[in-house]
Parts: sequence; C-alpha cells; structure tokens
Amino acid sequence: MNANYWKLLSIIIIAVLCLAIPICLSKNVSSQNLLLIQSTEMSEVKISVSVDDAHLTQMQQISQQLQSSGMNIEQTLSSIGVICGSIQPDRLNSLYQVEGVKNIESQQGYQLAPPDSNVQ
Amino acid sequence: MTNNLPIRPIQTTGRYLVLLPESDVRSGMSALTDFTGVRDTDMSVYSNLGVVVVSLDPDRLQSLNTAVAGDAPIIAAEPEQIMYAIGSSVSGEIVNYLQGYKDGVTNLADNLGNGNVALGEKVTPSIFTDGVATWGLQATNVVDSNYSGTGIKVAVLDTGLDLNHPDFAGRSITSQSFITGEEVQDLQGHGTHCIGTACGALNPPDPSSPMRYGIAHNAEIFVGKVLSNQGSGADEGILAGIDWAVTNGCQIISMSLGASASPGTPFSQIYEDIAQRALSQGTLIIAAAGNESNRPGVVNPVGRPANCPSIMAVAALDNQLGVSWYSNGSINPDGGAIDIAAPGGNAGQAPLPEIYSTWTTDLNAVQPPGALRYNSISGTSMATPHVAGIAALYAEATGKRGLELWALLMRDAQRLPLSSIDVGIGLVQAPI
Repeated sequence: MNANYWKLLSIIIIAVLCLAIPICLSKNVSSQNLLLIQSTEMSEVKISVSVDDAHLTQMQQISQQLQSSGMNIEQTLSSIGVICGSIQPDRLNSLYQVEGVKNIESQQGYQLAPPDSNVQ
Repeated sequence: MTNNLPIRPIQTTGRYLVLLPESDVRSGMSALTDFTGVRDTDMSVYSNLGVVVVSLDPDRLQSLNTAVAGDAPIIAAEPEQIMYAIGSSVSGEIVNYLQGYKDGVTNLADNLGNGNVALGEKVTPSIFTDGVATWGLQATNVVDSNYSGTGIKVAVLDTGLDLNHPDFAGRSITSQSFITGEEVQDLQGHGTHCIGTACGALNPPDPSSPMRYGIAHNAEIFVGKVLSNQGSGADEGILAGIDWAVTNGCQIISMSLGASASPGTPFSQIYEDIAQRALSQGTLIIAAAGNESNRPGVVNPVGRPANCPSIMAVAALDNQLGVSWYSNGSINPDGGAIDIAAPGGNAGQAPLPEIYSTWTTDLNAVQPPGALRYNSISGTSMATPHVAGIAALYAEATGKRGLELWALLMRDAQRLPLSSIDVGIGLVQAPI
C-alpha cells in the first residue's frame, strides 16, 4: 500500500462523506427539522424600546448601550424617547439590563383596506 | 323622573354671588364696597375662586348691576339659590331648581374667560345632506365657525399627499417620507382624502362642484408618509412620524390607521408613553378607533394605538347621527375607550351619504379607483380628521394645547342619545 493508495482512499472517503451527509439529512428532513435548521440562523425581530423620563436627556448614550447589548439601531427618536431597531430574540433579555429602559415591544404592522373599499 | 308636583319658583336666599377678577380679588372687593356700600367684613370671601357672597338690600341691586355693566373689576353677579341633595326619587321641583342653578353656573363659567368661545345653535339629530358644504361639516357646525386653524400645525400621518392636487395650491405644506424607497407623493389616495377633511380649502376651486369639504382651511399642513403606496406600515415609521411632528411643534397629529385588537388585549405601553410625552409637549394625538365591527351583531374593541388612554379615539357616525355599522366600541377595559365621535359615513349601507374629500390625481396610482380629483368613502379614518381639523380650530381660538385642548373638545361635544361605549362623549362640535 503506497502513498497513492492512501491518498485515493482518503479522497474516496471524503467524497462519500460529502455525498452521504446531505442525503441523510434530506432523508430525515421533516418540518420540525427544517425549523431546527432555520433557528440556528436566528432571524432578528423588530422592536421598539421606550426610555424612562429620568433618562430622556441621555438618548444617545442609551442608544449606544443598547447597541453594545446586541441591538441594531434604526431610529433614535429623541422627542418622544423611543429607540427602534432589531435584535436576535435570545439577546432580548440583556436589553432590560440597560439602565433607563422602560418598555420593550415587538413592532407591529399596519395595513389599510384597498383604496376602492367602501370602508377605509 | 316623575314630574307630578307643581313647579315652584326658583328659591333665592336674598344674597348674591359676585364674581371678581381671580388675579385681583382685593380690587374687586373695594369696588364692590364703593358701588354698594357693603363692607369687607360683611362679605364671605372665597379668594381662590374669586367669588364673594354678599347680602344686598333690593335698593342696592341697581348699584350692583351698574358695577357689573361698567369698567369696575366686578365681572358678574347672580342670585344665590337654595340647593338640595339629590334623593333617590327626584321631583319636578328639584329638577327645576337644578336646571336654574345649572344655568346660573354656566353663565358664571362663560364669563371666566374660556377664550370667548361660544357655541353655535345646538344641532338636533336630523338628516344631514351634502350641500354648499359636506354633511359632515354641517353636522359638526364647522360651517358656522369663523376659525380656520391659522397659526396651527396639523400633522397627518398616512399615505402622504398628492402634492400636485389643485385644491392645495398655495398652502403651507411640510412633508417627510418615513417609508424606505418611497416619496411623500400619495399614490394610494387615503392620505390625500384625510388631509382634505382636516385642512381642505374654504372655497375649493373646482368649477364643476365647489362643495366645501375641509375644516382647518388655513392650518399649516405637515404630511408624514408612514404608510406605503400599498397602504402598509410598521411601528418604526409611525413612531418616527410622531417624533418628527412633535419635534416640528405640531399641535395636532391625526392618524387614520390602526391594527385590530382582540378582546382582552392591553394597549401598547410604548404608544401610551409617547402619547403622554406628546401631550406634555403640547401635541394632541387623535386616532381612528378602527373598522372591525359589524353592527348590530359584532362590536370589536378599539384598535391599536387608538386604544391608548392618552390617544383620542374617534368613532364614526352616519348622516343621521347613528353609529356607523363598522365602528368599533369600548370593549376592552383598562384603556380601549371610544373618546368622541365624528362623521364617518355608512359605507354603502343606508343611510347614505359618505365622506367627500380630495383624492390622489396622480396617474401613477395603480390600485383602483386610480386617479380622481375627489372621492367619497367611509370609515373611522374619515371621522378622525374631522376631529383633528376641529381641534386645530380650538387651538387657534383658545390658545389651549395638549390635555386642555382634549378637554375643550370633550366639553363642547354634542351629547347623543347613544351609549358612550359606542360614541364616547358624543359628536364633536366646532368653536364658533
């Protein structure tokens, strides 16, 4: 058994592995496993964070602290004391540790009726 | 209440309630002494109220009237009346006393300087029809108002505005889009319709049909596009729009948008937080109660964010002042209340008609009905800008802002023989 033999054998084994693993996975794919795979990618949720009255003058600092805790900041709204953005769900708890955070809510969507509806 | 007993004349005590200037009660008391001879020591003084109670001989009455009519620091005077506690059964004579007393108090209150705002004739529940002005402007007494919203900034957060619409030519318009990838230009129509109702022209320049449809015809218009040309939006854009309006000093924010709330759902704490902050900064937020109901069988809760206590939630009425069939109700406790009602139309069901206002004339509007100069539609979306426009008239007339402005709208609303769950305090009325 020379070096070429071992080289060839390892290539064959690697090739088999590359083919086998996806096939095994796809055989076993059910909707549950799909969710498992997707969750490992962790899509972010859009949130709004309100700041308490005592910290209304420190919006930029709070925004930075939220960012350090994992929030992607989209808007820092200083007149009303709200910071909007997105975050991975598993990092949500750490936001509550930021001093000055009052309420955190997930964002909701709004949809008007079609413009030719009777009721709008 | 029964009214079987003979009605006696109002009973007075022989004393008089005299209203003096709150800021200078002492001058008022001196003047009272000068005119009537009554000494300080014979006056019962309520200095926090600026009211003095005095006994007066009938021959001194003319002197008192002269004092009230002249330049003296004496504002008004009324006979003191006898009051009774209200028992479990109220007789006709008691009702009469209370009515008389109420008239007296109302008279005093009117003299307290509420911006000299008078009310027009009481609007009786009858059938309103479009005429020189839309039925909505008639039912709310806007047609009799001398106010225009001059000096007041009204922000409408919606699908934008057709900036080329001829009816808005010459108006002060500030605009901002909060929809990524879209301009403020309204390609949907809803926003233009709402802005037309809230702030439309006094004399619309349409040669074919110059019916007035707008309320605060000289207000400064702030257009915040927080809903896309497809009518979609999210909290981020709406909150940014609110922040923009507050930062720009808008006294009124009108939001004809919402998401349905389930029975038992609490209101958003964040929207409540920002609404309170807006109020304290002099901005009143008015929002549509939502159209998820199907009366008489199905009444759904006020939607989000109108269900916040600090946001004024508007229900819709038809042209006979009945509740519109789709209009939501105060179902959820702890917030979720209907505050006030305004013309919204009955959406194709009798009684007609609907709410006529401007639409987008932009040929790029792809959804039906496409480009129109005007359109008639219904909804709590249409009721809301009626309240917003009238709020602007009050803001101009009285100088009041925030919660005080809220109180004026509630104070002067026409009470209706309908449940407050459905119409709140009643039909909004314009200051005359």
